[in-house]
Amino acid sequence: MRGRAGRSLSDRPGKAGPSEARPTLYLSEVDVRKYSFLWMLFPALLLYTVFIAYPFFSSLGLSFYDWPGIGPKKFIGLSNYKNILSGFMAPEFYRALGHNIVFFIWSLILSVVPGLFFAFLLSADIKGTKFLKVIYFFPNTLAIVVVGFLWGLLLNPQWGLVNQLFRVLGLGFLAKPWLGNTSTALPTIIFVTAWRGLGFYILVYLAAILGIDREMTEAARIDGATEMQIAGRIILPHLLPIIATTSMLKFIWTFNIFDIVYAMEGTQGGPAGSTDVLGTLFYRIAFGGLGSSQVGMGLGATVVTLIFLLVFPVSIFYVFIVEKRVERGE
Amino acid sequence: MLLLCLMMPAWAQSKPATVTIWGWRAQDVDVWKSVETALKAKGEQITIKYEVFPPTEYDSKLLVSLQGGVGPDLMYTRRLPGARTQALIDNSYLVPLDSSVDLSNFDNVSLSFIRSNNKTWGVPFANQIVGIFYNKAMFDKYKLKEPQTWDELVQVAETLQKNGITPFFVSGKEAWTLAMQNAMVGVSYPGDAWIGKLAEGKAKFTDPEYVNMLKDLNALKKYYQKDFMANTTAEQDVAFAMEQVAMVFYGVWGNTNWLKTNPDLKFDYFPVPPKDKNLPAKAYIYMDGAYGLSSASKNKDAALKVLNYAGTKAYGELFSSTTGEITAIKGVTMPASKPILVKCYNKMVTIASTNRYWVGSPFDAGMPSVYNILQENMQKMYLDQMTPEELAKKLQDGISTWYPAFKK
Amino acid sequence: MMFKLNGLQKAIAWIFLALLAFVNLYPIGIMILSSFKSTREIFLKPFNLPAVWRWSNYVSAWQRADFATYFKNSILVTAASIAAILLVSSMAAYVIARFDFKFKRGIYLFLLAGLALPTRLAIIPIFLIMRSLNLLDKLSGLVIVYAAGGIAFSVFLLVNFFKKLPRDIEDSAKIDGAGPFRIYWQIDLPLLKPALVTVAMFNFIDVWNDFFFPLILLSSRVKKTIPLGLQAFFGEYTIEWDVLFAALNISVLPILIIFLILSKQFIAGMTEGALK
Repeated sequence: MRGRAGRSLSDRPGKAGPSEARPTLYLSEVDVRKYSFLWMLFPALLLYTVFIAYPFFSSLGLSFYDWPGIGPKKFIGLSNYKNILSGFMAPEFYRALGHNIVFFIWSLILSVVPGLFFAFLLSADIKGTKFLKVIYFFPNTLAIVVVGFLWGLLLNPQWGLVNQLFRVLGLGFLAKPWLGNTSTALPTIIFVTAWRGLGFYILVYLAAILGIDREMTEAARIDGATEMQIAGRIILPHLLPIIATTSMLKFIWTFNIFDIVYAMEGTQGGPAGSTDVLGTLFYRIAFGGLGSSQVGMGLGATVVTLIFLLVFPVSIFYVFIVEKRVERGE
Repeated sequence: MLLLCLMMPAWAQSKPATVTIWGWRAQDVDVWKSVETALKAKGEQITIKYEVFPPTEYDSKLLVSLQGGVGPDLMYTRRLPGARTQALIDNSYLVPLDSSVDLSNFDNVSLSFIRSNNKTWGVPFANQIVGIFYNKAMFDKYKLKEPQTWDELVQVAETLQKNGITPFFVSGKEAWTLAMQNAMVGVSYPGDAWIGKLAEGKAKFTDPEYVNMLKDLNALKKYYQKDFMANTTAEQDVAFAMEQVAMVFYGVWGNTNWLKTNPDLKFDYFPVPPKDKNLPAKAYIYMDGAYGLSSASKNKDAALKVLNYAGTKAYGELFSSTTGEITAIKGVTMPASKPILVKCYNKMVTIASTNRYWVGSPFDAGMPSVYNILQENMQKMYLDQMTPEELAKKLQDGISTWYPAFKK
Repeated sequence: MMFKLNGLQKAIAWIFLALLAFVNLYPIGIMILSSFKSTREIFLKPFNLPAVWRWSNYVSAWQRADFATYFKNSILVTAASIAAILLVSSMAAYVIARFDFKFKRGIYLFLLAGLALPTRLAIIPIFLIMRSLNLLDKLSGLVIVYAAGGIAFSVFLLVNFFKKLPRDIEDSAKIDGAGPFRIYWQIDLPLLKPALVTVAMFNFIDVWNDFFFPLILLSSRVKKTIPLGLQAFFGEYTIEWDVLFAALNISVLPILIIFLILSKQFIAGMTEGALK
C-alpha cells in the first residue's frame, strides 16, 4: 500500500542517520554528471540575484549616505544609524517598532487561535462544510488596499455597519470612532488584517490536521479518550511544526506591513501616530507623505536595513532549526 | 512681445510634435484636450499626451523617471518654498522660463510661489483659497449672518447646535485638514501682520496671541460632529452636500464634488474671522501648482507653445469653466454658473493674506515643517493628549531646529 | 473526518462556522451592492438594496478606466509571470528539496531573504536596471520583475511540498536510469498539481493586485494594468464612489472566477494528504 505523504522515515528498518535516500555529494567527487542537476537551480537564482537581491543590497548600502533621492550622494558613515537609533528620529523609530511588535503578537494570536479552532471544526464529521473553505479564503484574494478601503467605510462612526450593528444590538456604548482613537486604531487595523488572512491559516492547519495518521486517533478513541483529549494530546503536538512555520511567515510579514495602514490611516500612521509602523515610517522618510517632503533615501534605507536585520535572523533560525526538526520528525 | 516673435520662427509653426505632460490631476484631462483643439485652430500641429498619476505617487514616479532619463516634456510641479520643487530646480531638471514664456497675465503673488533665485520655474495653473464654506439655507433659516469676529462665529455655532444642526464637519482622520484648519484660522487670528513678525523671528508660536488661538480652536470642537476624529474628507463632502452639516473648513476645490452630489446645494464662503474686531479678516491663498518645462525635453519648442498658451486669458477661462477651480491667471471672469467661484475669486483679490505658515510659506522649506508638526499634534490636541501650550511649544522647538530667523 | 461530534456539538459548531462565513462575506456583499448604487445612496443607505440597479456604473467604469486595455495587459502580465514563477521556482525547489550539496543551506537562506524585503526601497536600482536593458514601459519588463519577486515565497512553499512527495516512484525511476530533470518533469510535477495551483494562486493575488511596479515601470496608457486604472478614480479632491465600486468589482471578478474554478485543486493543494 502506498505510504501517505508525511510518513515517518523511522519505519524504514535499518536506516539510520540524517540523510535518507538522497544522494550525498562531496565536493571532492568532482563528477560533472552528478552535478548536472544544479542547472535547474540557475534560472531562479539568476533572476532573483539580478533583479531582487542586487538591487536590494545596493539599496541597503544607501544607508551610509545622505541622499534626498535626487542629485549627488554624500557619504556619512554611520550617521543615519545614529540618528535612527539614538538621535532625532529615534522616538519615531522606537514607537513604530513597538507598534510592529504589538501587531505581530496580536496578529499571531488572532490567526493561530481562530485558525486552529475553525480548522478543528472543519475537520470534524459535519456535513456540508466544503463550500465554507472557499468562503473563508475569499477575503485573501482581495487586494489589501481594497480591504482597507472597504473596512474604512464599514467603520465610519456615524453610519458605518459596525457601529449600526452595535446600536441595533443594544450595545450602543461600543459604537466608537474606532479609527479615530489612539487606543483603538491599531487594534482595529490588526483585526482587519486578521480578517483578510484568516482563511489562509484555517486551510493550512486543516491540511496539517488531516495529514495525521488516523490509526493513532482511532486507537486513542478505542482506548476511551474523549475528543478533547485527542485534540489536545495527539493533534495539537503534531501541529507544532506547522504553527512554527506560519508564525515565522507571520513575523516576517508583520514587520513589513505597510499597505493596510496606508489604506486605513494614511502614511502618517494616525491618529497622532498611533498606527505608525516601520513600513509607513520608511515610506514617509524615503518618499515623503502628505505634508512631509522626504527626509532622505539614505535614512529610509537605514530603516529598511534595520527591519531586515531584525527579521532575517528568524529566517535563519527557521532554516537551521525548525526545518531540521521537521526533517527528523517526519 | 519681442520675445514672442523671437521664439516663433515661421518654419516651426507647422512642424508636428507631441508634447507629453505628466500631472496628478485627473480633472485636467478635458482641459488638455481643449488646449490641443485650440492650438490646432491656430495652425499648430501639436498633439498633447497627458498622463495622470495618483497624487500620492506622483512624486515617486517623477523622481525615479527623471533620474533614469525618462520623463515628460512638461511636468506639474508644486509650489515654492517646497523641498520637492526645490530639488528639481537644484538638480537642473527644470528650465527657467522668464525669457521664453509671456508671464504678464500673472500677478506677482502667484508668481512668487514658483520663483527662486529671481527666476520663474513654472507657469502657475490654479490658485486655491481656503476658509469656511457654509450652507445658505441653514443660515437663512436661523437668520444668521456671516460672522465678523471669532466670538460671533462661536455664537453662530451655538445657535445652530441648539437647533439640532451639526455646526461643523471636521475630517479628523485626515490630519492634513487639521493643519489646513489651523493655518486658515491663523491668518485672521492672530492675523496676517503677526505672522509677518513670526516669519522675521520677532514673534514666537508660544506667544499668547497664538496660544489663545489654539485654545479657542480646541474649544470649538464641541461644535464638531460626534466622533469627528474618525471621519474623512470624502465623508465630509457627502455630509455637506447632503445638508447634514452647516459649515466645513475647506477649500474652494470642494465645490465640484458637492455640486456633483447635490446640484441644488446653495452654499457660500467666508474667511475665518479675527478675534480682534479691529483686525481685518484674511483668507489663506496659495498657488496650487505649476507647469514646468523639463530640461531633458526633446520638444522644447512645442512645449513652450503649450506653456505660452497656458499663460493666456483664454486658457484661464477654459481652465476654470472645465474644472470649476480658480485659475491663476488674473483678470479672468469666473463662469457665472458658479457663483461660489465668483465670490472666492473676488475674495482672493481683496483679502488675500500676505503672510502664512502652512503650504507655500517659508516654514515649509525645511524639516520638520509647520505642516508636518501640525498634522500629528493637532490630532493630539483634539484628542486631549496635548495642551494648546504644549502644541505651541512643539511648533516653536521644531521650527527652531532649522529656520534661520528662529535660530539666533 | 477527524472528529466525531454529537448533535449538540455539531449545532454549536455550525453557529460558529456560519458566523465566520457571515463576517467574511458581509463586507464583500456591501462592495457588490454599492457598485449598483449612486454615490449618495452609497453613503446614505449603505446597507439597503439599491433603489435602482445602476448597471450604468459598470458601463462608465469600463469605458472611463479603459478596462478593455487594462484587462488585456493584466491578464498577459499575470499569466506570463505565473508561468515563469512556476517553472523556475519548481526547478529550484526540486533541487533544494531533493539534493544535498555544499552551500545548499546558504543558497536556500539567500532565497528566503527575499521574503523579508520590502519592494519599494529598491525601486530606483530596479528602474535603472530595467532602463539599461531597455525594458522600461514594456510588459515584458514587468513580467521579469514579478517573476524574480515571486521566487522567494514560491520556492519556500514548493520545497515543503517536494519534501512530502514519496520517494518510491522516484527511486524506481532512478533505477531505470532517469535523470534528475526527467524525474522532476515526468514524475514529480504531475504529482504536485495541487501544490502548483496553490503557488499559482498566491502569486496571482500578488501580481494581479500590484500597482507600484506598473506605476514606476510603465508610462504609456496602452500598457497600464488594472490597479493603475483603478487609481484613475481617486482624483486629488474627488472620489467617485459609484463608478469606483463598479471598477473594483470588475477588477476582482477574474480572481474570483479563477479561484472558484480552481478551488478544488487549490484546497487540495492546501490540504494535501487528505485526498488519497
